[in-house]
Amino acid sequence: MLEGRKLCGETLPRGRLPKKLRLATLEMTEFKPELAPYLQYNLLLEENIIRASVSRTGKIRLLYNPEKTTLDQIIKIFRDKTGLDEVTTKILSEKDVETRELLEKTYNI
Amino acid sequence: MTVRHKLLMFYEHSEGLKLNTGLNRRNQNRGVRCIALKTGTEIETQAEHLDTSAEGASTTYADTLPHKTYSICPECNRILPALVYEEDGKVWITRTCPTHGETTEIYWEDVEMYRKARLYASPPKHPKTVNVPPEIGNSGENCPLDCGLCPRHKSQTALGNLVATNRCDLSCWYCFFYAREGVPIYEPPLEHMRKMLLNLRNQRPVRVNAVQITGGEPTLREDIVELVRIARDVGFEHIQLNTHGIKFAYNPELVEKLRSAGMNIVYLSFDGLTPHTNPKNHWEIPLILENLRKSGVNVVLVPTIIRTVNDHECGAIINFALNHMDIVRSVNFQPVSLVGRIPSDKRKKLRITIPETIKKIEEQTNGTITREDFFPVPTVSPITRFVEAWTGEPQYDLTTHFACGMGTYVYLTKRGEVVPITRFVDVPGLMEYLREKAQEIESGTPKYWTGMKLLINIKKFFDKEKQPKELRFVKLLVDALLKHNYTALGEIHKRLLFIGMMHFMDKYNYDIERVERCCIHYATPDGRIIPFCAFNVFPEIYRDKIQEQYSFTLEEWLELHPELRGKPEETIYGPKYRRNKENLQKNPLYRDIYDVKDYFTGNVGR
Repeated sequence: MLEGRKLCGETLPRGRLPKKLRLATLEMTEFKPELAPYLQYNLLLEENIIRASVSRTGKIRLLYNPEKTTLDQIIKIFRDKTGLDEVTTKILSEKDVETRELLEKTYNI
Repeated sequence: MTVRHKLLMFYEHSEGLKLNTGLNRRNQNRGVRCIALKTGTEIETQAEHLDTSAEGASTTYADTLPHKTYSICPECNRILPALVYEEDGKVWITRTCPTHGETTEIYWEDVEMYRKARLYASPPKHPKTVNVPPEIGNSGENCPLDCGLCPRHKSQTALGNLVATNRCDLSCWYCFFYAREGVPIYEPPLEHMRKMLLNLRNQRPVRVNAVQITGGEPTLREDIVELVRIARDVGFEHIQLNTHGIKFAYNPELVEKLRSAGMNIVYLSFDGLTPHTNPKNHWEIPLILENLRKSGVNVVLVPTIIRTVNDHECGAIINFALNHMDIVRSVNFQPVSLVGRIPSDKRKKLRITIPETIKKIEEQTNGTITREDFFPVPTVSPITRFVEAWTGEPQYDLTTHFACGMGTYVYLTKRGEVVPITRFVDVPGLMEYLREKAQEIESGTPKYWTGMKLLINIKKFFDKEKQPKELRFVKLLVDALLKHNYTALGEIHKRLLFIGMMHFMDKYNYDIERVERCCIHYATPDGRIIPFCAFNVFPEIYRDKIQEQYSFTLEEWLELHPELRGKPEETIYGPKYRRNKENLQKNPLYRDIYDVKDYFTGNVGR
């Protein structure tokens, strides 16, 4: 239960996060660039979205907890939340990333 | 139509809005076609509403008013173009959300002080290290919603904040942490805290040298002494503990242990001199100060100033500090940050900004300390630049936004006179001179030639007649500039009281130009370093969300603390503090500490 908080050698604790997270890159067409910050905010509000980056060209990068949610669910949530029904979403890529590696890249130690 | 409506309309529809990200939204914002989020309603706006009277609104940082910036909608957090403008001698910030309408809030309560402050703005100094992984690639274009630090941030960390715990044994209504205090418990283990401290410390081009261990109430951690020791091991020289200090009132051994471990400043909540204005620790303050005094720990008094609550005691707080200058190094006023949803009439009642706090000081010190004595934080940037040029080593530069904070020093003479240093130091002239000398060295003039000129000329910026006789200020300053050591600076601090103020933002007065220059940053367990006014103003995506990911459930907490099993829940999370006022008031120290000499009228007693 407390495994995620233990330090093992140089490994950084990952708290409640699973060992692996999923990184998805999406592209939205008919995207209104001025909405990028608002979309980013709404994505980050979701408990299972760990990080998000929404560019003004409509490219979205999402890091989420695949044990708790799916990309389809995420897309539905932010469509519902933002009312962007006319926006089409294309999934460009999806891959698993080690939480440990991500943390190591975030820290400067 | 008011001036601000005209100006805002201009701003909404004008061409060439220069986003703080550096992107040009010229085409995006022409005849703005906004989608009202959630409702899907479209709002067409027309360029003919353009009000040509506002064409001069500035876009460059620290330029004249009216000034274009970015803010947020306090309802939906949408980033919006905003205008900072003057009306009725005050400075306001306004923006209009397509869904939630206009929000206009006081920004600075005195336009003349704003005009003075902006003259001291310093150029940015970007950190060379960022804390955003390349996989996500946050670039800062959605600032402040993609913090890391990201590559766009314009100030290095001056003071790193480390939340030791979210538990607190008080429940103060004006605490920005209060809403989510305590449950679930956020208290990263020491080894994890070490990593977070290292992460802060490793910033480049200049290592972070000052850290504040904060909370919640950090002294509730049983291993707080060890945490301070780790901060020292990691290399921090300035270690502050942000606390209400109540544990220190009853546990002098804890003070001594913390001091020995490396704590050198207690950042002590102190909201006033009466039980009404300082319900937090009024009764314990005498014991707290006594025990800190015995251990020789320096104190910064930190009053949160709230209009109609304690704004009538600004002068009295400074006077109290002057009476305890053997340990009190500074008073750092914090005009209240109105977190959460606060109705407009309540905001008007409680809101106070930096200029108004300074005016209160002026009134309540009988003009001993005036508004002219205060300068914005980045005023000291030329000192850094000179030292950097002199030593050839990168130095920490206070590049924070000019509207975030102001400060001054006052000297207490042996005869009991309070003299602001601006009465005998020509601060603007001296800073300009140092800027020129730095440029001289940078352009190749031999530094010792410049140093010699500085030694000769620096005296011109000091008025010997007005300088207190016992104060050798020029020598202290030259030692600090040319020897560049903390001993010299420490010497200055011992003779002077620093009066500062830092106004943290809330959603109503939010200015993105300010947050992107923030220099007070939190280290978080996921490796990020997040500016104060992003971390606390958007707790739902930063503070609370991250702490939730790294928190303990009740079951996990009990697994770590098996001795708490079967105890009442209050005991498990840490009981709330209950004081015995009668006993505390009976203590002779209570009268001694509060019976002070009034340096501003000459009276003695409360």
